[in-house]
Amino acid sequence: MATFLATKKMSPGLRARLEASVSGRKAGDARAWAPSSAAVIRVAVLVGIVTVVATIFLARQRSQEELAQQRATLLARLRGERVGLPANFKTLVARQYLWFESSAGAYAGDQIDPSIREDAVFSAELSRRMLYVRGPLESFARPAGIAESAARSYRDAFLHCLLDPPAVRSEKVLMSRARKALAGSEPTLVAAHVTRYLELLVGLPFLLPDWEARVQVAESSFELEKLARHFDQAPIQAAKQAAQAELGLLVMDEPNDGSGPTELDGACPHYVRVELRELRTGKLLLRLRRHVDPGWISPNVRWEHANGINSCGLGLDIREQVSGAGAGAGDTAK
Amino acid sequence: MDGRQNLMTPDLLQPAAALRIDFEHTKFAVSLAFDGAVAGGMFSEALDKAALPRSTWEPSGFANDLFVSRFVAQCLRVRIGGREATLSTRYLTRVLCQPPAEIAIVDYRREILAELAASSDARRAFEKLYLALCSLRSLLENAGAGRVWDANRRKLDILTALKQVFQLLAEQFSDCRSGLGCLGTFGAQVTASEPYQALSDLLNYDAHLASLSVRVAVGADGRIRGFEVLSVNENSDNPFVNPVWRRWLSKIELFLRGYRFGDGEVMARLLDSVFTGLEVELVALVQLLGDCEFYLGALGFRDQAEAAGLKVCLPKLVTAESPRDLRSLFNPLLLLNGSVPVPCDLIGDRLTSTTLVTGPNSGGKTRLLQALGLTQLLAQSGLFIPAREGSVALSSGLVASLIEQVQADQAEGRLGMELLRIRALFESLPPGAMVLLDELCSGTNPSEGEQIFELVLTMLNRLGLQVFITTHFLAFAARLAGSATIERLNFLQVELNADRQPTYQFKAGVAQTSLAGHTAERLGVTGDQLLKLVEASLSKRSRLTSEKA
Repeated sequence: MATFLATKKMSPGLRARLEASVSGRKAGDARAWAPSSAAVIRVAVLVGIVTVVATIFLARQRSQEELAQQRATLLARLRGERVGLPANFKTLVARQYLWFESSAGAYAGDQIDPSIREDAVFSAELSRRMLYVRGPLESFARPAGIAESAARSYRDAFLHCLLDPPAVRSEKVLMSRARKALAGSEPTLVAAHVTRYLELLVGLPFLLPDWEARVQVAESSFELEKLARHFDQAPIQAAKQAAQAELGLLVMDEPNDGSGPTELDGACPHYVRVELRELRTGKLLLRLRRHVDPGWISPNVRWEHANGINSCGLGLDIREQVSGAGAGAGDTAK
Repeated sequence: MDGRQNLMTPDLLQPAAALRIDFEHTKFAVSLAFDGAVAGGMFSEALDKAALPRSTWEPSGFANDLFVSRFVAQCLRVRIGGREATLSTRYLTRVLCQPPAEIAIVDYRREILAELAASSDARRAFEKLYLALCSLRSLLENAGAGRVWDANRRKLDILTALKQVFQLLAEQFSDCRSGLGCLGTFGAQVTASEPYQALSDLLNYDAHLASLSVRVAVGADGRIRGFEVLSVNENSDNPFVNPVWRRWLSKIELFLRGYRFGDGEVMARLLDSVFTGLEVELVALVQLLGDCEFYLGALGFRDQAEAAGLKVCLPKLVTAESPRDLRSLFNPLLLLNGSVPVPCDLIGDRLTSTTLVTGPNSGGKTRLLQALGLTQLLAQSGLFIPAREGSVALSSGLVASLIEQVQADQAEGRLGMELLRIRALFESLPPGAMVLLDELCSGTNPSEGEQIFELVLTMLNRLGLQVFITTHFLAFAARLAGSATIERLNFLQVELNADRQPTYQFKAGVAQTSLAGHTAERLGVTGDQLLKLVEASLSKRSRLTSEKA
């Protein structure tokens, strides 16, 4: 058995003795190499270490491959979900925040785009895909407030009556519409083409570059699995729908103006600002500020439905204001 | 195959060279010693068990009576450069007590000794070789001493000493005429061999792996201002030089093979491989060390004698029928107690004869027998004899009965033991041997003892021996001298001076008196001297009695 100690310059005799010396037998002894127990143990330990290291290395490599596969799958899903989104979806929430913030400031005065003056045109406009949010005026000055308002924007009789105005403006009819609005399921709005702004806030972040970066930098399979689970649970489709909305309908309730008491359901006399914009162009279609007062509602109904009745009435007021005379516009019967 | 068949072993004790020590055992011991696994005694043990040339002599017949061990220990001393060496005395005693049966071997030894004695250069080289062998022995056997902290350094020291021995053998003895020439042949054979070349290369590798040329700049204040390596030259011609990467692989390889990881282990393997190639030669050196001591001891004996004003010589070897001729013979045992022996001449008509020695007590009769025995022993071994000149006939054996020892468990009385001794003598005595008997049949009634004495003389005479017997049976001796009934019977008597004191010389004839009175007077055993002791004892006793009263 050759040894690294031997060199080419050594004589054959010396080389043979050297090989015999390192192999633990005498020169000229033809017996097979008999390893010492120490050598066996050391080789076994070394083989063991190499095996463990190789196993760890291969396992780690396999884990990395699985991780990469997992990541690629998730990213592919994410990118697939982005298909159909508007080109400016990354800045959508930021631009709307700017809109809400500017609208929550000093009121700029009523304005109605002449193109929607016709009732039929206005109705057609309102049938376009729309994003809706309503909340107290002060909540729109800060992102957290916007999110809170977005979460509460449901079962709103205003939207019912704006999109589908009742023929008669009577307390009984308005209350009926208010009850109908309240009877709907929590996230359901009045029509399929109207999406709550909340869906955009909750779902859109999962399609944004920041979340993609989190997927990219995830270091473990566990982390990626967690991200995938969140992605599965996220309202992606609703967010996509919200992102594809053409119009934005913003309703801001100003504080109680002090002209009357606050009812048990929270209704009180106050001004309400309503804005309708084209989201892609930012074109303002209407901006109106109307006073609502539950004082006209019968006392036995007011404590329970004043808010709904007033919201429905507000919807009718908006339609009347836009078209000059809506259905039952002149009716103020109880 | 261990290489022994091709190796010429240096053997200084016999012309037909042979490895007389136990090869396998010694080789194993040498390997262990090199690895530092054994302590001292390896050389002595190998030599003590060494085989010797065939001998017809039986050491038990004379060794104790001639004090051979003491003679070896105190007369065969080696003193070189003011320092006395420790010899393998048991081995030397064995060699001395078993002189070779073949005269060719005796001549071989005599030639070597003669050359060493005649040539101061040869002796100096021989002593130098012996010192180098001692140094090697010391390094091998002193595993626990010295540079024990570095086992490789110790092994390198051993190999360095080994190389020096081989160089000495090759360079110093090639011109010798006697058997010493075999040392030169052996040295030349070894130094021309591959293992020796490997040894030289390894030592060169250890001392000179690389040359580094540097330039150091020193400032005005004496401080070093610059250090520049000009060149690095690796001794790449040396077969042990390996590239750095191979050195690392070597270390890893050794570790996997069960050795330690490090440069030291690499060097240990190299040392082992070089040493293994020279193990056979080293075993031969173990034997050579003992042989060196044999001759240096003889030279030391000559030096010691000359320091005392005495001469030694290599005797002429003659036939048994030749005349006896020993000039200035002395007893070397007398040198041991510091006294200077008085040499005497011993001249006779024939070596194979019986000689009765008579004379006063303390006249030197027993000392003469010792001197004759040692002379025969030394001459037979090929060494110097304690005489200025002389001739000796080789004998087939030696029996000496000079000490009368009383054993606690002896079955017989004094006469009985003496008769048993005589019987044993005739049972084992070969023809042509030398017999030395002190005061034969002194343990019984003289008239009855004389009859046995005469019977023994007659029988010894028939065997053709060299016989020396001392006796105080003066009348008996005188009767034998007068009757001449026994052939080849000679008589020697201690010579007395005018004051009737022994001169320690011997002349022909039978003594008239044993001068026992003189001896008694010298030792304080006369009538007056004993009477004074008795009176002193009695007066002391009466004084003690009166004090008590």
